[in-house]
Amino acid sequence: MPAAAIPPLDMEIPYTAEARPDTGVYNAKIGLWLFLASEVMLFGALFSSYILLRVGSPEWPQGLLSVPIGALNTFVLIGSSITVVMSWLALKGNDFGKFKLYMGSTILLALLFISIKSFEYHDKFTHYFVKLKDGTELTGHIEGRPFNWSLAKLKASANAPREIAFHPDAPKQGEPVPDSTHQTLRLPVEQIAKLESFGPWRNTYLAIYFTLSGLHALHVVGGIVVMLYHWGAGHRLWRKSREQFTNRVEVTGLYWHFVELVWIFLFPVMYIL
Amino acid sequence: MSDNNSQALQQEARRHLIIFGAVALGTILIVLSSFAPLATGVKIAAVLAVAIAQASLVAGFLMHLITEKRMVISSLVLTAIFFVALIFLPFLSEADQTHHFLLR
Repeated sequence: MPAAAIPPLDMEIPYTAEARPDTGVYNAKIGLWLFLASEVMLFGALFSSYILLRVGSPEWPQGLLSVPIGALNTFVLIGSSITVVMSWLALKGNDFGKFKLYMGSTILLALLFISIKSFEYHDKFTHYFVKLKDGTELTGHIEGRPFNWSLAKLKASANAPREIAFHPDAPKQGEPVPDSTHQTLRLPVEQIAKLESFGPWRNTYLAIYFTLSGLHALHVVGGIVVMLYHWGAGHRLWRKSREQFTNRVEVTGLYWHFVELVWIFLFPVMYIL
Repeated sequence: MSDNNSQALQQEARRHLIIFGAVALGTILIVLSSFAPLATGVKIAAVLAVAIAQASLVAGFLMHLITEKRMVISSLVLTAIFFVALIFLPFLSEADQTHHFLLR
């Protein structure tokens, strides 16, 4: 390879701060928008799959997710979307202290979102469907709230219990109240034909719910990592090139707004409709 | 920083707070609609209309799409066309229109 082809180490990357004449925007921004376009198609494909599954399904479960918890998470994400844009405005106004405050708040809100989501996921993996050999079907919680049990796991465990204490769910509005409600049922393990948690394997609705919300949660985690970098070590760039740092925070904000946009559709589709 | 710049930033911050209020209000409307005794079709249309309005506010104002350069807008218009096609594919398949047209 000829020596002239090797770029010098101190080469400056063009258009990190100023707009490129032909596109009218700095390079990171056009790159981020193209990335978001690909993300739109990724989530679009999953939403399209959701529609296909739903219109082709003879029945669709309702009320499996808590609307107040979902709404709370929506408010958390909307709040974080505002704080991230405020952190960018603080940099535009040369107020680095405020940037740290708003960016820190965004990270905390994002962590709160993930915590609430984890709580919801945990609740699904400790919620069970039981079918007895006599055909009786029950949903509810096993005493001690074990995580993701199955009949095979239960039978294979070292201290396999002979029976499980089961707390059936309260009936939904309009449904008759069975005698077993509010009672702890003692279910002999040998009488159980099927035992499974409300994981993605339970039904089509939960499969698409975990796929969509899991992918969204991964995006939230990715955002947290980038924002933590800007809040911590990455802010050294502020001393070197204020405009470039401000642009980095702007594109991070654009990504974060996209994460909120996806949730704006996910919430009604999964919790309400 | 000039006074004009500072004032413009304050105005922008205020605008973002109004957007926050509007999007939060949209969420409240969506939650209320879940308790409303509406027909399924009406409920789906109402909830999706509010969600689209919320998304427009976020994309237009928080992501500054209303003042964005042509280059960005044109790439997003292309994405939107493909996105709409993607979303309507299941309906096409459900109605079995392809099969219907082929038989003609």
